[in-house]
Amino acid sequence: MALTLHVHWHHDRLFLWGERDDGAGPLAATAELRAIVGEWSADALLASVAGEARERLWLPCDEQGPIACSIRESGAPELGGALLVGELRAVEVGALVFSPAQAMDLLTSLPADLPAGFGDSVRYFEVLAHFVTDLLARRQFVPHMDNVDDGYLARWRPVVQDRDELDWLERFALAMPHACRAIVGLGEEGDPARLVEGFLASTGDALIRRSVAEDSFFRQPAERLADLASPPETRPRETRWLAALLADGARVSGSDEDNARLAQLVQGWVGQIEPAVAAAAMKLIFRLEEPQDDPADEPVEGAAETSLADDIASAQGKWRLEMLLESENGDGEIIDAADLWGDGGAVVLLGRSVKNRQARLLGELGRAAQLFPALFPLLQQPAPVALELETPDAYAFIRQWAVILREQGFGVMLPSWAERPERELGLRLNVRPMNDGAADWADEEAQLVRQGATGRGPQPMELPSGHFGLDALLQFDWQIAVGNLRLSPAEFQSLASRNVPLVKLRGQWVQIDLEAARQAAAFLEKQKDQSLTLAEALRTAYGASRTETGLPVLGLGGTSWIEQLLEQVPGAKVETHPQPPSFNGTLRPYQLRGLNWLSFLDRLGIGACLADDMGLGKTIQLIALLLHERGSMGVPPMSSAENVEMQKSHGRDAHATSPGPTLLFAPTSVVGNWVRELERFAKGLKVLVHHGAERLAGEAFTREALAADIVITSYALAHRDRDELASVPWHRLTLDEAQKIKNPSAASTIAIRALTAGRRIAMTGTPIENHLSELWSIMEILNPGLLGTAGDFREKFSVPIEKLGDRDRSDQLRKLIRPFILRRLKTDPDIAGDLPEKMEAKIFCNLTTEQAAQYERVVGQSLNQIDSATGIRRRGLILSVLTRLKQICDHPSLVLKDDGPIEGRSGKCERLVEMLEELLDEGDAALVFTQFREMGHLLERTITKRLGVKAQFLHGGTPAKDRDTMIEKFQDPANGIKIFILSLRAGGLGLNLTAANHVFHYDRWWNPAVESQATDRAHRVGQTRRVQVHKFVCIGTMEERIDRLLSEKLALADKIIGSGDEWLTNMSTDQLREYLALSKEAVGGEF
Amino acid sequence: MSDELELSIPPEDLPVDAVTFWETPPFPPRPDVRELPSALERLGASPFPKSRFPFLGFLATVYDQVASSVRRIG
Repeated sequence: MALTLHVHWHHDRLFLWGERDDGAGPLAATAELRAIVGEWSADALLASVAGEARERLWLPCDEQGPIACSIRESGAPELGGALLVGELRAVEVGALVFSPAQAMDLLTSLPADLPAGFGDSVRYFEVLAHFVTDLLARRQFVPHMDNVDDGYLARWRPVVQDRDELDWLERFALAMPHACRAIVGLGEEGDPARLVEGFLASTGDALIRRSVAEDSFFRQPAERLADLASPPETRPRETRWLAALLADGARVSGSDEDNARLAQLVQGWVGQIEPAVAAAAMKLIFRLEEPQDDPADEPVEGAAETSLADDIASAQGKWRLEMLLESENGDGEIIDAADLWGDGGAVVLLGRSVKNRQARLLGELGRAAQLFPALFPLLQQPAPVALELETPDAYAFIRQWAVILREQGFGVMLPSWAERPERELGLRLNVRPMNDGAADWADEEAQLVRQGATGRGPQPMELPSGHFGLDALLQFDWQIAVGNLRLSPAEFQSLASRNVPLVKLRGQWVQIDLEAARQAAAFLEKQKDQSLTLAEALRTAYGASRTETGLPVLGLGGTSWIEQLLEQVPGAKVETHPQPPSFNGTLRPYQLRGLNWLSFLDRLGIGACLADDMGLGKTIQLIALLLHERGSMGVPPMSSAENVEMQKSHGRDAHATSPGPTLLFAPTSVVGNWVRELERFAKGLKVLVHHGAERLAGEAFTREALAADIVITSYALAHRDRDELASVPWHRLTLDEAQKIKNPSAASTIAIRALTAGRRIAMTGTPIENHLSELWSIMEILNPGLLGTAGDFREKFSVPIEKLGDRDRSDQLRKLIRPFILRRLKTDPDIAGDLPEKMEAKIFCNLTTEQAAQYERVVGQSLNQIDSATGIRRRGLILSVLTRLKQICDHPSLVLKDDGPIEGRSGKCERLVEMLEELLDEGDAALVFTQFREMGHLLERTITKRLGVKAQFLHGGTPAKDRDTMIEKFQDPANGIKIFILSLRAGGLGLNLTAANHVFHYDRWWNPAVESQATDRAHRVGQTRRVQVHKFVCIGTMEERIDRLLSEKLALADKIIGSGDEWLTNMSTDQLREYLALSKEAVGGEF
Repeated sequence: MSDELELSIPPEDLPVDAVTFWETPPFPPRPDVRELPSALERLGASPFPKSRFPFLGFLATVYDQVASSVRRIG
């Protein structure tokens, strides 16, 4: 072939032209082209039927004329050292012209491997031609109807439904050879995608018509459908359309108006089949527009607020549901449907040019109408833009149809208020004291304090009934809240009776669930003329079910002291006090906040639960409260001696100006610790320990209790000594480790509930260990009736929250108890800043009766032997007795070597188990150091049995390999090992155990350096949390005396203490007796 | 753009350089096509439910004929 052939497509025709290989330029005549086509086409007649045309093309030219395509191979010639770039000029060529069907015949009959002489453009349209036949063979085409300048045409159109195939087609369009679109005067029609789309549509339609025409089967129905003898208006529109699809001419008969409706219907039907592609390319969005306000109705500045009736009247306008198309290729272009119909619909859209936007809109609208039938009328319109809705329909759209349409991939734009749930209607209860506004409540409080300080002897200060506290009768009113808007019940009743689901209230639209509104109206009607206590208000606000109230209760508000109580963050707004001057120590800022909060609730007579994390100092916050209230009443704390003197001189009236005694319940294991903490921080308070076999009874107890500032007893005695305890009108009832009363049916819990006290405080690090019923049990003592009866609580909260996972109920309960519980965690940002990296605390424990008896026996036997011995034997005896006494303090079975039960025989062991339980609840981990291997094994068994967790024990006999494994397991939290027991010798040095944030020294080495090294296993580089160090000391034993010596005379101790217990062997027997003797306070009784 | 101007100025995105003009990027290969139901099947129910003419049945016959005829070309 001496020519290179090129083709291009426009205006439904394929043009073939050629250029000479010798560089002489394009052919001007077509005779040679016909000869060549006839030569290689399988259809010899094709060349002869082709038409002829003069085509004007933009071609690259130099001074000699058009530059041939062979320049690709030869490269650009150089002229005087510079590349010859050339320019585009309009060049006229002679071309053969093929109809769509002929074009398909030509392109599909080319040899499989095109020989040289066929330009890229021929190969390009050959690929497209095979693509068309492939689509048709796979039945991927649809009948269609196009609106043209002078009527409607029925057309067949190939469709590309597969996403990959569509992507390919787009990329293929972009790869179109430049010569295919270098047609002079083509303008926007020269876009490659449009040319491709036009080629597919025209050749597809032509092939389908020819396929049908060639089969005689279709001839008769086609003629019958056409039935030109009868007037078009008498024939069904579908038959007119089908006739045009089968006939040679594509024009649809009938009026334009009728055909417009038909075209709309067809588009709605056909458009459905391409949701995957169409939705990916363009998304139909429905935008709900509020009714336009009449300018005359706009509020005028300074004018009175609009009435509810005006508001309702303004809601009667029409809503508009407008349609938009959004491109989804990331450009974010959004086209209004109104604009779409204006531009002819054929503009290229973001590369998806093979799709027609109008067709997409109608197709998607057809799909949406299947979901939301109200849209069907739009499909009958020639250029649908928006649907008008009445207010009830707009409400239904917001609540129902918008959700369905979104689920199916449509976009929905609602007014912002309709998207925000908080704009829904809700109830809000406002309460205020009966005399609110008459005087500052702080004045009343001061009066209250004076009353207590001056008047009624040792009786606990009683709060005026019905004035403060949960039983205070309140004035209240309900409001209906909508965001910041408030309606009175009367306004709401009026609203509910009008049956309007959407109302514009003071310029803001509000959705109203009519059924809920009716229920709420009935609820409010019932509330009329009722009185309410604060407890009832809280229960109503946060405990009432939606079925009772109709609308959700959004909040409870108050004034005066109620406002402070209900403040969202406990303690945030309460009155602040300085640290009591008589407090022997320094309260951290958060502890001072805790004191203020306790003091605030205390003065209102409202029970408070201090639920700080373990180690944050709940004990000293209560001690500070005792000192604070005495200080504010002008009662200086006195020393015990002064107190005794006063009692001697004044009898029971000695405490006439005291607020009265506080009764503290604590686990047996911490009774001693309380005594020591009170001694340390509040020396002036008179403490009565009601515990142990020698505790007071009857009138003696009552007398001493009334004279005391605080009476400490154990939960074990709550039921046993209930008569004694009930004989005293307590100023305050306090529960330490309040989780001990988690069983509301336990005898001790019932006994405590029966006690009379004006104030109540609970302290616990774990207000809920397992079940919500535990919370009820604690709160029922603190604020009886607040959470309703046990049955009510179970029905309203326990079952819905624990069994059904009801988040709303959980939220209600949280709000209900929030004013009464103060819980701070060590990890809270404002707490963490107050805490040092390492916190050390002594844990004072009592001995059990068994331990005390053993201890005394060993001391008694040993001292005589020591006294009579000398030299090495004496030193050996001393060391031996010290070891035995330490073992007894640890656990009596270490000395007895018995196989008896472990539980309840050691005060230290009981306290350790309690503390480990609490820290495990908080997700912490601990090291427990002991000097005795037997004690380590005993603790390992105890922890597994009582806490249900595995503890590991590392001691001198642990093989090196096991030792490394144990360390690795503990350091990796995934293994779940939270407690690591170590013997001091084996584990005190060299190990990295930073997974622990608690260190327990179960027994003491009496050498601060050794203990410090052991502590540093956890407190070292790599530790990211605060480390709490707990040093166990048995009260009234040589442990406490040596600890005191170390604490008070550290400098001296450094000199006299070598390592271990050696220094004690240098003491005289009298000194030893003093150090070893057991004091009475050591015994804690039964555990 | 006026017709006159369009006739006198080539489209901006047509390369002026002759080598670039005649160069064609490689055509992207056609993807493997998964089997899809006929477009007529996806169209579903007839948009002319009241018509007495067997609209969908007739179209189905057209589809069969076209597919068969075009396969002969391909």
